[in-house]
Amino acid sequence: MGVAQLCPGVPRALPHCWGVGQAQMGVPRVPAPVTSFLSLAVTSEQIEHLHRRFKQLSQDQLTIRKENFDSIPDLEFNPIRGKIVHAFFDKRNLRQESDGLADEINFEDFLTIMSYFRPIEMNMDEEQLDRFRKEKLKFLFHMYDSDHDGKITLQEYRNVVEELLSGNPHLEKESARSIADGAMMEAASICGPDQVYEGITFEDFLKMWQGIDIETKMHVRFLNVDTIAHCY
Amino acid sequence: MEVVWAVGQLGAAWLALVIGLVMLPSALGISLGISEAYMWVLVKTLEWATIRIQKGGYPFLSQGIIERDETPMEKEISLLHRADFEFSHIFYFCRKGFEAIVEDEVTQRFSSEELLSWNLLTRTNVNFHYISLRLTVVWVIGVIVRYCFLLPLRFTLAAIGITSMIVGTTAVGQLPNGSVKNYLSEVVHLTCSRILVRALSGTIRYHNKENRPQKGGICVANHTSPIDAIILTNDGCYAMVGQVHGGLMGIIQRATVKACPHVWFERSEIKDRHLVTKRLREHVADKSKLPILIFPEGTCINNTSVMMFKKGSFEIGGTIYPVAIKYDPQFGDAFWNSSKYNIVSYLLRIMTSWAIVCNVWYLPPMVRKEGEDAVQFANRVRSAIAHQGGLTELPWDGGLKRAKVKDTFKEEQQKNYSKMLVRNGSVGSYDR
Repeated sequence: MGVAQLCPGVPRALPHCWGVGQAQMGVPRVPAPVTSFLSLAVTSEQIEHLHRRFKQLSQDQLTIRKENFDSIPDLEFNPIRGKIVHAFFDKRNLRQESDGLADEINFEDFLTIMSYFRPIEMNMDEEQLDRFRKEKLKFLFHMYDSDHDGKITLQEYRNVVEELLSGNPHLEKESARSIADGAMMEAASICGPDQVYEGITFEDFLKMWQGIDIETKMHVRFLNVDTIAHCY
Repeated sequence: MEVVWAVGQLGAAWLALVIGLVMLPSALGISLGISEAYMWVLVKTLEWATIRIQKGGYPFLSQGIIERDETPMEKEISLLHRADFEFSHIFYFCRKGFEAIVEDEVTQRFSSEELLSWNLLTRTNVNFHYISLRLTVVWVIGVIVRYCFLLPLRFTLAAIGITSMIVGTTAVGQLPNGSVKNYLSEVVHLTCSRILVRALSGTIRYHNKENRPQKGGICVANHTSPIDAIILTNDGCYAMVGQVHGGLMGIIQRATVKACPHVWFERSEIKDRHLVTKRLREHVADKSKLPILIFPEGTCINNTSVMMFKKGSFEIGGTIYPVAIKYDPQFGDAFWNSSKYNIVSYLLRIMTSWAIVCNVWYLPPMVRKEGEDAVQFANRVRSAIAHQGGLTELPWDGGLKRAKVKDTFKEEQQKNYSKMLVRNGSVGSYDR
């Protein structure tokens, strides 16, 4: 499928012979293999927006590295900033067969990570909803499981709590630890007591979330872009 | 020989035209209506272009791309389950992080505002490509008009304006101090300002002229570009504050300070905040001196928002006269993106835009209240300016253009979250 058919609203660029100004006018706006993201009922304008955002973050390079995320002031506020940035480069999230961390990601990878945050569509059936939910939970699981061994151990869990609470000088390490332990006990009561010592696997993780509605908490909803009439 | 004579005649005719149509009206402060006619033609053309673009079925941009959920952290987390720490708390921060990555409030203020409709300038053609033949033809005509006709005209006017300012102020500076000198200095400054505004095809509308800054006061405005100063001096005389530069700018500074007490600081002096404050305080205390003009943001912002005001200007005392300046981006983008363009290419862009159209609102004077410190006062003034100009207020520092967020800001959010957890008493007690 060519870009023109995928994104009907995007007109062709001015041909090079016009020799006018910016190189961006001759470059195709959106890279071709974005089919996976397009299955998400996202319009071509939104992809263009994301592409522009990608270019801004990458400073017009083709790939983004970890350092590029340093340029977002709003992100600095976030206590789990490290984990979020890490998630972008985590090969498990990028649906690659190998393990570990990628050094850099291109636009398609960027969209792949973004797809974990798409909102639910009205017309999804049971099976799709289930798969959807699993994907989001898997993303979250990877965020906790920092050593990539497929289990969340007590230590990994404590790390997350400490990161979230690290800014408060009044809170001692002990308190942070006890908060983490409390939550693990809670998890144990759902999964069964053995799990807490070995670590929580993904299946147990899924069990914990049964019945709790996470889809609406873990999405970023795009605004609708409608044609607006203008009179000057 | 004849060619030289013909060129000479042409040159003389051109000069006579410029003097008659531009300089005299500037000196006298009247308008011949040429700019108005030009603007009318321009508006009609752009309206037509907009309709054509709409007919082409091209969708417009919205003001943001994602819907942000503004629920405060406490509410959201308590909704999730209980307020004790849970696996789920990470959702809130995760989502906020993603929202920040997709769309970032601050960085977008340091690049030019995106237009909702193309204004037939190549540089704003980020989203709009080839649409129709007629539109392209109009665009080509526009390029020819702008580069071959308007640019030389504007350049000539700017050159005349700057030379007359240097010559005029040096001449006035020779006079002994007195009311005659002040009057003449005002005339010279106003005339040259008006010529320079015409050089940019500026259409400025001033509102609430009764609130215009008085002598002995401090005028405070939001900063979008270096031409802000010219926009304001077009309507009144101010004492400028700034650093001494070299080159052409330095010559202008040295000439103007002879005629009128502008406050120019050496580079070394500017670092010493006490010295700066002392000098400005002395200036303000003298009620016969012109009001100072200060831009407290410290850097150019893209005119969609007002960033943090540096408190230094608000510690001087005296009456503050806030002024809000809002440019209309449809006719030309006045924002100077100093990381992308240097001053020369910036001026070239300004001179090849259609026009500079802006609204200037003079706000009622403000003084520091009892018990209010400089920072609170600065924020109060900033709100008034943002409200009047229809700009959003951001608590961020303009210095973020070049530097990173301070660590103190980062820790705030973490502190809030941990305070919330501890408050809900889950520390050290869990009996399930």
